[in-house]
Amino acid sequence: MQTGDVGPLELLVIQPTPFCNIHCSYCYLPNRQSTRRMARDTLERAFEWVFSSGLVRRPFTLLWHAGEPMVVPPSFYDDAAAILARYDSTGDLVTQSFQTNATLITPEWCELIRRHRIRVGVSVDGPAFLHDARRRTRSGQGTLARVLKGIRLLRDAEIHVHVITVLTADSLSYPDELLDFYLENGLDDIAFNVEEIEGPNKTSSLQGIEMQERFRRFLDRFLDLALHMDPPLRVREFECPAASALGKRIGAGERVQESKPFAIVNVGCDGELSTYSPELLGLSSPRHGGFALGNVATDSLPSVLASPRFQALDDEIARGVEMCRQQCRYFAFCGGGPPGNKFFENGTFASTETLFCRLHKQACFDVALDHLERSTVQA
Amino acid sequence: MSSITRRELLKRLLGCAAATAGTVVVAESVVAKAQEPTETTDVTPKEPEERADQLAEKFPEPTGDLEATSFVNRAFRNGGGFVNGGFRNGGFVNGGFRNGGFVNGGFRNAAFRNW
Repeated sequence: MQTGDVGPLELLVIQPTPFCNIHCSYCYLPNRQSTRRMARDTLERAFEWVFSSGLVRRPFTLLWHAGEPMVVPPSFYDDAAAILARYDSTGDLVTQSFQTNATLITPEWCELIRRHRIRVGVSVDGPAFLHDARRRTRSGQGTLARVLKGIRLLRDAEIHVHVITVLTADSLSYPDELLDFYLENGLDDIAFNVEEIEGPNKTSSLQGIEMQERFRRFLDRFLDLALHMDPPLRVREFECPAASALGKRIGAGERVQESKPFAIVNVGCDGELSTYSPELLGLSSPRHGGFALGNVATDSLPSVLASPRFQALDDEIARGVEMCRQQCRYFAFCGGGPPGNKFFENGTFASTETLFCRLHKQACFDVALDHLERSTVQA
Repeated sequence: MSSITRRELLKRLLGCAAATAGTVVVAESVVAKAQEPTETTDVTPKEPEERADQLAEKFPEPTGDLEATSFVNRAFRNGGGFVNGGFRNGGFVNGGFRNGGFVNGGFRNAAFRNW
C-alpha cells in the first residue's frame, strides 16, 4: 500500500494529555488517571509528521481529545497555533475543535477559543438526576453545576456550543426532560451517543433486546419535540441519517472514515500514532499487539504502511467492511460499523453487527426516516 | 446563509408550518399524539433501501456531492445542499452552520462520533 492509497486525512486527533479531571462511569479511556502531558517537541514532530506525510490533500479537522484537553494550560494551544501557522498560513486548511467536559472553562479559555476560532463540543448528559449519576468527580461529586457554569461563560463570550449527550438506559425515559434541559440552557445543537462497550467499559446499560425499542421510542419522541420547535433544534441523529438516505449510496469497496486507513490519524501524548477508531489508541490485544502503529518521532508513513502489523490490521478491517456489505441491510447508508466497536464487542474487526450498530446506526436511520416519511414537501 | 434561514428550510422539509403558531401549541399537539394508543398493523416493515428510494421520489433530487457517507462522516460534503426546493442552492450546509459553520467539507461530527 502506498501513501496515495490511504487518506486523505479528515480528522487529526491529538491527545495533549490522557488525564481527565472527572471520572465518568462509562468512560472508554484506559489511562485517564495518567497526568502525562505532550511535550512541545512532540507536538512539533506530530505536525511535521502529518504535513510531510502526503495525507493532507484537503482541509481537515484537528480535534484535541482523548483526555480532557483543558487540563493543559491555554499556552499549550497558543504554541500549537504558532506551529500550525507554519503549515497553514491562511488558516483555511485546519479547523481546530475541543471536546470538553466544560468544567475548567474560564474567561481565559474563552479568549483563547475566540482567538484561534476553535470549535467547542461539550459533553453533558442532561438534568442533574441523569448527568450527575454518571459524570462525577473522583470523589463522587456531580459535575453538572460546573458544566453549566462553563457553558454560560462560553455563551457569554458568544461562542457556539454543540453538545453530546450519552444516553444510558435511564435517559431513555426522559426525552421531554432532556428537551427542556437543552432549551433552558440555550443549547440548540444536539448529538446523542449511546453508552458503548468500549475499552474499560465492558458492559452497557443499553444491552438487551428491549432497549432497542426503548431507544427508538425515545428518539422518536425527542424528534417530535425538537423538530417542532420554532426554530427547530439541530439534532445530529436526525440530520445525518436523513442525509444518508437522500444522498449517494455506499457501494462495494468503499470505506468510511473510521475504517479507511489514515482518514483519521490519532497521536497520543508521547507521540504514538494510530489510525482507524480513535478509541483504539493506547490499547492492545494479544492477537494484534498494540494498536499504536509507530511514533511520530521515529516512523514515517511509508514505514508504517509497509509493516506487517498494519497490513494485518487493515486486512482484518477490510474483511469486516465486506462482511457488513454482504450481510447488513443498512450498509448502503452506513458503510460498515466502526472497527473499534466491532473489536470491543465481537473480539475481531472481521465481524459485523454491534450494539452500537443496532442503536446508533439502524434505529436512528429508521426513526429519522419515519419523520421524513411523515413530512411534506413544499416548493 | 444564516442559521435562521437554515432552520426555516429544515422546518419546511419537515412540514412544520404549524410551528409558526407557537412552540407551546405545537408541543401540546405532539404530546397528544404521543399519548394515543399504538395502532397495530400487519404491514411488513420496508427495507431501508426501499424506504430511501421512496423518499428520493418524494423529495427532489439532491444536488452536488451529497453522499451517504454523511451518515457516518456527518458530512454533506462540499455542499450542494440537502434537497431541492429549499435545501439546495446553497442550502442546508453550504455557508452556514454556526459561525460560518460547515468547514472542511464536513458536518461537525465527523465519522468519529465522540466530538
